[in-house]
Amino acid sequence: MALTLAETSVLIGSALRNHDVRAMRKINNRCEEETALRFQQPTYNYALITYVLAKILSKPRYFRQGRGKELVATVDRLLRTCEGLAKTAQYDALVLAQGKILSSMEKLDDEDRRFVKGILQKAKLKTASTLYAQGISLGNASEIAGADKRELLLYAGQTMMFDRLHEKKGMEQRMKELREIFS
Amino acid sequence: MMAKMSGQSIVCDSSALISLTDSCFVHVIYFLKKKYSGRFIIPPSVEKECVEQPMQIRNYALHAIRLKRAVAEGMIDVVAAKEQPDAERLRFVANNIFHAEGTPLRLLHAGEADVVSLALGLGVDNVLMDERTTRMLVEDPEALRQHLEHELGKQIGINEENLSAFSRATRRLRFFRSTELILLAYEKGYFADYGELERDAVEASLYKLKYSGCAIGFEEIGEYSRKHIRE
Repeated sequence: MALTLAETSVLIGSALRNHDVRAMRKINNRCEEETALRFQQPTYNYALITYVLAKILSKPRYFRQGRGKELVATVDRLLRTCEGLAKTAQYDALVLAQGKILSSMEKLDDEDRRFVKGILQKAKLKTASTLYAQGISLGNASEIAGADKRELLLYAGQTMMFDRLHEKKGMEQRMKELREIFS
Repeated sequence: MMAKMSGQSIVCDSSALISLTDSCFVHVIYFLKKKYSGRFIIPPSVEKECVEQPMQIRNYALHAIRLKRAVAEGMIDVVAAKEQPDAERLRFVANNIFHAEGTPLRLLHAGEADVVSLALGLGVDNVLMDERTTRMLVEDPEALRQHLEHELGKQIGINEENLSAFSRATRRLRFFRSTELILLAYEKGYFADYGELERDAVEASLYKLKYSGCAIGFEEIGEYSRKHIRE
C-alpha cells in the first residue's frame, strides 16, 4: 500500500535518527516507484532526499568535525515541519521545506567536494535513470528529475538496464527492414 | 505544401542523435546522405534539445556544434510540419493506455510525441530512436505492460480503446536505433579504410553506442556480431 507524504516524513526521520542506511534505501525504492506512478513533486523530492541521506549516512567522512551530526539535527527538524505540512495538505509549503532539506545536504557536500558532479546532481541522475529503467520514457524521466537528457542517456548506457528487458524486435529484424528500405 | 518525402527519409529523435554525437559518428549521417535520396529530419524541439541547450553546457558544447554544422550543411533538416497531427492528442492517448491503482501512467514526453507525430504528419515511416519506452509502446505494448508490472510491483491495467487508437495511428512506423544506422553504414563501406581492423572497429562502435545510451543489450550486440560481423 502506498505511504502518505506525512508517513513518509516520519519514516525518513526515524531511519535518519537511527542511522539506518538500509531502511533509508527501502524508503527510497518506495518513493521512486510512487514517482513513476504518480509524478508528484513531493514524492520525487523524498526520493532525492532519501538517496542523498543514505549516501551521507554511509560515509563516515561527513561525520568528522560534527558536520554530519548538525545536518542530521537540521534535517530531522525540517522533516517534522514537512510532516505537519503534509498533514494539512499545504503542498507548496511542503515542497519549499523539502527544498531546504536538499539545500542543506548540498551545502554539506560542497564543503568537502570530491567530485565534479555533486551529490544532489548524482541523486537526480540516479533517480531519473531508475524511472527510465522502470519504463517511464527518457523525456519524462529527465523532465521530472530535472536531469539533462544527455547525461541521463550516458548514465543509463553504463547500466545493465537494457539487458534486463529483451525487445521482441531485435537487431537482426531491424537490419532486415533497413536493408529493404535502403536497397 | 510539404514536398513528398522519399521512402528513405528518417525522422530522428534526440536520443539517437545524442548517442551518435557522443560516439563521434555524426559523419555517418553525411556518408549515408550522399548514398541515398532520403532526408534526415528533426522537429524544432529536437534541435532545441540537441543543439541550443547543450551549447550552453561546457561538457556538451562540442557535440552541439557538430550537430549545428550538420544542420547548417543541409545534412539534417529541421522541419515543423503544418499537417502534423496533434502531438498533444497523441501524447494524451499514449499516456492513458496503462493504469495502476486507478492512476494513468504518464509514459510519453512531449519531445517523443513530437517525433512520432512529425513522422506521421510527413508520411515518413522510418524513425531513428534509441529511447526504449516509446519504441516498445509502439512495437510491443504488452511486453512494456509486463515490464512495468514487474518493476513497479503493481498490477497494470490497459485501456483497450486508447491502446487500439494509438496502435492504429502508429502501426506503419518502423523504428531503428543508432546501432542499426552504423551497421548500415558498415555494410556500405563506412569502415572499409580500417582494413583488417574493419570488423573490430564496427563491433567496438556498437559497444560505444551502447555505452552512450543506445537501448541495446550486450547479449544482442554479441549475438549479432557473432553471426554477421565475425563470420
